[in-house]
Amino acid sequence: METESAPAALPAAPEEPAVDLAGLGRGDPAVVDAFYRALFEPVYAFVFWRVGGVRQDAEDVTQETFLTALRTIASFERRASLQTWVCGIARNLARERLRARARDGASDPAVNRALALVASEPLAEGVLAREETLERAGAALSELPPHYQQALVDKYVHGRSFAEMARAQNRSPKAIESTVQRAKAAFAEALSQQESQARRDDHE
Amino acid sequence: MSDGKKSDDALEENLRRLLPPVLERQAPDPAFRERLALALQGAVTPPVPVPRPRRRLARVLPNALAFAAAAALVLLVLRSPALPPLPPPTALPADAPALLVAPPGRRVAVTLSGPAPLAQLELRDGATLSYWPGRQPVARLQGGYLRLEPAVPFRVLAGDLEFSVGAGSVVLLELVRVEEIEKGERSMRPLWLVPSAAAGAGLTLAVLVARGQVSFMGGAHAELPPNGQVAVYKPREGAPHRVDDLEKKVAALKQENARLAGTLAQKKGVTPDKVRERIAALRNAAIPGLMNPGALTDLETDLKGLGPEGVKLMIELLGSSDPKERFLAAKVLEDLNAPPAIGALKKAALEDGDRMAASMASHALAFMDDPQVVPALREIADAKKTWESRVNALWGLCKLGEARAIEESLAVMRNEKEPKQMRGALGANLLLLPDPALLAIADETLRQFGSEGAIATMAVSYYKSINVPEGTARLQSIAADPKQSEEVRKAAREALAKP
Repeated sequence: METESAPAALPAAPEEPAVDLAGLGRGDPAVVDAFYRALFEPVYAFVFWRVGGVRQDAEDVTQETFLTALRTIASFERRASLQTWVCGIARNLARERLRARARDGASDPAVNRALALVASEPLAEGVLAREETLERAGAALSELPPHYQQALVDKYVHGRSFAEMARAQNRSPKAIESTVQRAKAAFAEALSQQESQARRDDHE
Repeated sequence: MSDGKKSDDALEENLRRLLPPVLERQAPDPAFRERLALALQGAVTPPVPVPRPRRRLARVLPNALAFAAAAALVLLVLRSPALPPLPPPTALPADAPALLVAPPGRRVAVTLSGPAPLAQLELRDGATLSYWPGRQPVARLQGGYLRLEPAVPFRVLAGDLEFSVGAGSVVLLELVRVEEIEKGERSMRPLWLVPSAAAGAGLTLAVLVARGQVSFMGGAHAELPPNGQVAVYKPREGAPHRVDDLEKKVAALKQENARLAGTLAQKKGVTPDKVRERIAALRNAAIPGLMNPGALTDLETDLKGLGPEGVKLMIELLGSSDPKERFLAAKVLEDLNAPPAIGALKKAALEDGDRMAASMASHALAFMDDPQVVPALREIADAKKTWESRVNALWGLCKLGEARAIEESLAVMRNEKEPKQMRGALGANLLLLPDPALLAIADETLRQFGSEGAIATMAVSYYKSINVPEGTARLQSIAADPKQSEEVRKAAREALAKP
């Protein structure tokens, strides 16, 4: 049976596009463009929810993230994926931006409670309508590995069946189902971690 | 059902409801993406500042208006020009491969051209264009909307159906899922191809061949509609269904309507046959149809004839278990303009679990021309249950001149963290009120959403209507603004010319 622990069996669910790091270091336009096109969407989404969903800030931080990444690419040591490394830069820059704006970080206890139970209780309309709920869900989604994000979007946004997703990715429906299950669990876990963090932050 | 299964179902339901708005919100501005790409090309040397992109109003207004707008605005959306002009397109060169996806909630217009134009397309909500030089271009719909005007033969994959679209044709396709229709999402679009009668048809593809030739590929589906008529297909079932074929389903719905109407007639005990007919007809109508002024006239005539009893009947209907009936009741109460219903409408606006019914209740209160409604609207505005109800309440309060609501509305417009849909709906609707006190809000609306011709035109009407020197100055500014379309500038010139 296909499983996620067998990377060789996951040809169509790559976590990392191949990027020519030497070319990136040289500033080769084609490589820079490929690097940017591969990472723009996930990095922008990652940033967007970490600056409180303010588009202007998200654009500024995304721009600064890519510029910083290109300037410091020589320091990338391959200890994590390139996307993880770039998101690390983005996380720091977003934090600085939020600090500069002195954002009120107090979170709503009702949203906290509801999101802590996202894996077991349907969210109430009132919670769904809250901006903070979207922020937290978006941040949780953007934390996930790309193929988990894709699996959740295919399944719960586009409504695709496991069979359809399997055909598109040249994998077995069982393997897709397993990916979706793991992605769901990872999403709930990411939200739960945020909830713990929010409580700690509020306490401080 | 086991606890584990229940939990899994809850998580899945939460994901279905959370992820679409998340994706919609986080979709980047394509102009920003391209500008940054260009900037990065020069970024290995000193960084090039990226110009701030202009804000865009994506496909937000139709929904916003449908939920929250004044009737005149809803008409603006629903008035169906046969084929509106394509928006200004982005050019794609045909000498390189291209893959273009319009993400959910976004609209993309492109021209694909080599030495000569190959096609013009408009894609929305997940529609995809893939192109490889030397091969037949393909447009794909797994959901969303596609308008295609090819100059060469084009392939279209929509659900499980495959079409060949001839050169010189104009074809519109929309693929929706039943739950989207029921939620009223797609029905609020300027071009609504999937009719409400098809709501029982599950995954539904609507095809409108406005001009030219279209044929099915693979030989599985033989029949296509005559030009100018919408045909509806159920891709997963493999067989085409003309709109007429859905009559059986409609008949079944009518039976159900008759049952409901009977219940109603018993409730009020007068003119049961007449009311049965009215409700049955209305129950079949899509919600946008109900929003159309005049749609409920006959029923309302009956109810007015009943006097206070008619209002009471509709208040009772607000407690129905069917959300469509509750929506209908709120809509009728809006038109009856009945202050005795204020309490019930407020309760519905604050407590109804169905978003459309709750929004309609707050809409009804907003339109009520009675000062008694102010406390109810204030309570709804403060509750912030949904952005739609908040817009309705603020609009109603501004209409009645509540100073706090005007201040609050301006703060909403200036707060980028408020949903864009909310800001668009609030600003656009306030442009309908000829009140100089709303000038700052109108300015802010024009600044944020003025790139939408309809909004700019409404702003022109507003500035004219307030009849103050500041309004005239704004009109002069619009008339001379090269960033505005010729149509908008002309409207401003004409407004200035009129006494």
